Amino acid sequence: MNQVAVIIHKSPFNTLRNSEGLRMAVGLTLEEDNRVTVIFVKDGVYLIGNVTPEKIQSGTIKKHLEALRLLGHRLVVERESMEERGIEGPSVKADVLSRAEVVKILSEANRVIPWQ
Amino acid sequence: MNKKLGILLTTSPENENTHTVLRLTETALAEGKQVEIFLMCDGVYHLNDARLEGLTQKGAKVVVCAHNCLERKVERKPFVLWGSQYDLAVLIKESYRFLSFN
Repeated sequence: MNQVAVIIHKSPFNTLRNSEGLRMAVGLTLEEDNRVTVIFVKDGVYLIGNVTPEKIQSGTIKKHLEALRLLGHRLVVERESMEERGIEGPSVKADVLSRAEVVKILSEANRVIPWQ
Repeated sequence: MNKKLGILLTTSPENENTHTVLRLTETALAEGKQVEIFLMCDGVYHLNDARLEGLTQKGAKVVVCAHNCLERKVERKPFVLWGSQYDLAVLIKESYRFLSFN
């Protein structure tokens, strides 16, 4: 199994970049040996808040998140980043983990893609 | 042993990533490694960069996300494979080292 971690750390406001990063993450699942974990840290945690894409010009977000989850891949949100920004909980099913646990996932991954 | 270096490039040609990718690819090719570059997002604008075509003449393989090319009205070029995200998924699995430049 090829463990692939995609890190989303930029704000989704007024950019299509995060939407493209999530589209890429969905695409990575097309190779059946790839096990994808998308990790939201820093301002990236706004993606899993209750955002309305058409109001913030962010492109497609939820469709990609739901596709990843339905395909059995993993969404992870860093707890400290959520707390710093006052986000109470993810709007989609995701694992809320500590910074130390996120570091462990990254250290065990075969591939890490920091998405900016 | 597979010695393919995989590179993801998503930034446009004026970004400093372009220089890094060009030099890395040249060095890897000179050492006998295979190099495959996947272009997506604004990275597809490199199809208009003659330096990238030069790398393919030295042996590098370049694949683009056709979806992003169509969005940006970037024309198809003979030196690249008109690909999809599936090509990136396979590259990530098959390459012995993978570098992303975002």
